Amino acid sequence: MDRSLSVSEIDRLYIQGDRNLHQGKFEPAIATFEALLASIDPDERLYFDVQRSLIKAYQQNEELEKAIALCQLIAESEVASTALWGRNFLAVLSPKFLAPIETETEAPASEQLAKPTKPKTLAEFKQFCQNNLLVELKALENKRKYTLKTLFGSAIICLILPRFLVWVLSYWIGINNPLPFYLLCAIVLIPAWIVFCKGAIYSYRVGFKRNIIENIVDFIGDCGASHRHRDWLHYAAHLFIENKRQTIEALTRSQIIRSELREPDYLAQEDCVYGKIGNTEIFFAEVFAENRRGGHLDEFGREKYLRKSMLFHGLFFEAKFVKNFVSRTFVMPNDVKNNIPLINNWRGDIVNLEDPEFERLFRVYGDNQIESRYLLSTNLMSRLTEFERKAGRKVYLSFIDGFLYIAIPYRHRLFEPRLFKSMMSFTPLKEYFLDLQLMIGIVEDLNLNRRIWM
Amino acid sequence: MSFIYTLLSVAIVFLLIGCAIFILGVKIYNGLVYKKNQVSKSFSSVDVLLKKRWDLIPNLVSVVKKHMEFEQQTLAEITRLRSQVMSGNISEDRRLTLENQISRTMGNVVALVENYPELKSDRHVSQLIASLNETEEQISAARRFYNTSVTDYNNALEMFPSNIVAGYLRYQQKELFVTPAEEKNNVNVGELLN
Repeated sequence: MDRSLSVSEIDRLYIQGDRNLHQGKFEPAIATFEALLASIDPDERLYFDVQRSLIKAYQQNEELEKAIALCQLIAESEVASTALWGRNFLAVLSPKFLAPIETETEAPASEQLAKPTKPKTLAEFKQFCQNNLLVELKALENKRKYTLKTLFGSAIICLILPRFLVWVLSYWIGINNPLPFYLLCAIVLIPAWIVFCKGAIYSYRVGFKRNIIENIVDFIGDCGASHRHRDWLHYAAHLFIENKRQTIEALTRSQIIRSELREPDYLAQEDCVYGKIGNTEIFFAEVFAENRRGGHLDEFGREKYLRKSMLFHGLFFEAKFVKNFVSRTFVMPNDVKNNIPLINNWRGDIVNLEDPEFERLFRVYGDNQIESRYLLSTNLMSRLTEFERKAGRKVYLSFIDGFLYIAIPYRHRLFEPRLFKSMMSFTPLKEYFLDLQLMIGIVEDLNLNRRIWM
Repeated sequence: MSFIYTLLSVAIVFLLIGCAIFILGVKIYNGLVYKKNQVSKSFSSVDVLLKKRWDLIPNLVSVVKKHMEFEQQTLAEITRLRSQVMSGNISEDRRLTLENQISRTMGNVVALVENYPELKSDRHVSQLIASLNETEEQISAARRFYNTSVTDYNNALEMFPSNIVAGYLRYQQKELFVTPAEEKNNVNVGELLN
């Protein structure tokens, strides 16, 4: 296959392979993924996703040797999370790759897994940045300056060019009124400049997530060599198809944003963190969910919509909850909207709880008064109060189908490189760190690893 | 003519006031009945969960008694308390006291299981203790719901104007579930072993 495949062509082929894999057509899926691997660069954002899907296809097609060989290749990757996935999946493919159980402690594995994670301090993070991220940050800063220069340079050219052309044309042809010409230039140049800017900013962002955000996630998830749950967190700047499908289903099931079990018309997710902390499996990502109406194709075949409305933008968290329950419980911020029974009666009855501080911050609705109280123990209420203070934002929770869902809305994009602020400053890094630690720390903050029976 | 109009106006005003008072009275009456029923409902929820716990007790006792030879007294105490509660002919207050004693004694048994590694590693015992702890937490939630319902009901009985309707209906204040003083202290495992 030709090495110079366009991004959209790569995406299309990947989706096609993924679809084949899910439909049980393993051979065409393998053929597509193998061809893709041969044609895309190892630094491409999709390279690891293709490798991962290919391994799964090999596994399901009972070509274990090939799967193991590719998995071993991944396990030796320089990218920590990629190598980690490879090592973990090797153990799934064959028990002989299972890591030997550490014998230094006598505690049973389950207790060891549930050991509390010590949250990292800002001072530790600063030290980590100085020791590990300085080279990447310097490179990023240079790239940022170059991008800014490019943007300003191109803007100046766009301003000078029409004046120059008018001067040339008036010299050769003689234009009395240059205004229509200026307007024509504006119509052509402004969109061209915007497209150019988008491209420049996109290329500035490439590599940022892998080099900076992924390292920060690894740093927060690192609980020291003695902890067996170290290395259980994974980071992916983007996840595709199956994972996106899961997020759509989780967001719909959570009923945090609306009552109907209707999926959002559009969902995008970025900066996905998933894995295990102690005994608890977690997933969170920055999610954009939209409602779209009046879809049609324009003259260039692009999808256009008459109306778009944002349903949710922010961090969305999902974890299996330790207690068994069957009813729904919603913990909403105690604002005007959530205090109007008429628009909230689909969430169930109001549950009045005993903790006055919790009642001041939250409004609880639930289908079953006892089960809501069973879930919201006095301990969890005080932990949630503390968590809300720590987040400094509105926090929405729902307990549905055995899962805990948390949504924290944000107005701005998260985990993006700054263009107009120096990347050598600690402020943006501190923001990334605090946002990520807030989410990863939920398991400890809400004590989700606690098993009530032992 | 104007006198008739005045009389009619006064009658309409009185009628409206009467209607308003009637509607308010119905609302207060319904609210009180709802709150009273809510208390009964929450108490029956506690009752259901307590019965669920009774069912677990014989299983746990039969599994652990062959291992816990030295704690026969504790196990006998649990069985005795359960029999008393199940006999049925006891007052509500006495029953609550007995249930609290069962809670405390069951807590002791769970704490004692920690001392028997063979019991702790037994899957059946672990499952029983898991069910028991889950039930205890559900009981605690049901008690909290009961207390909330009782507080709402008692408030309605004392507050104006619902206290007038409650007085007319001869509604009585209800008691909250209160943790006994001895349960407020931390469990001293060392003491249990003596």
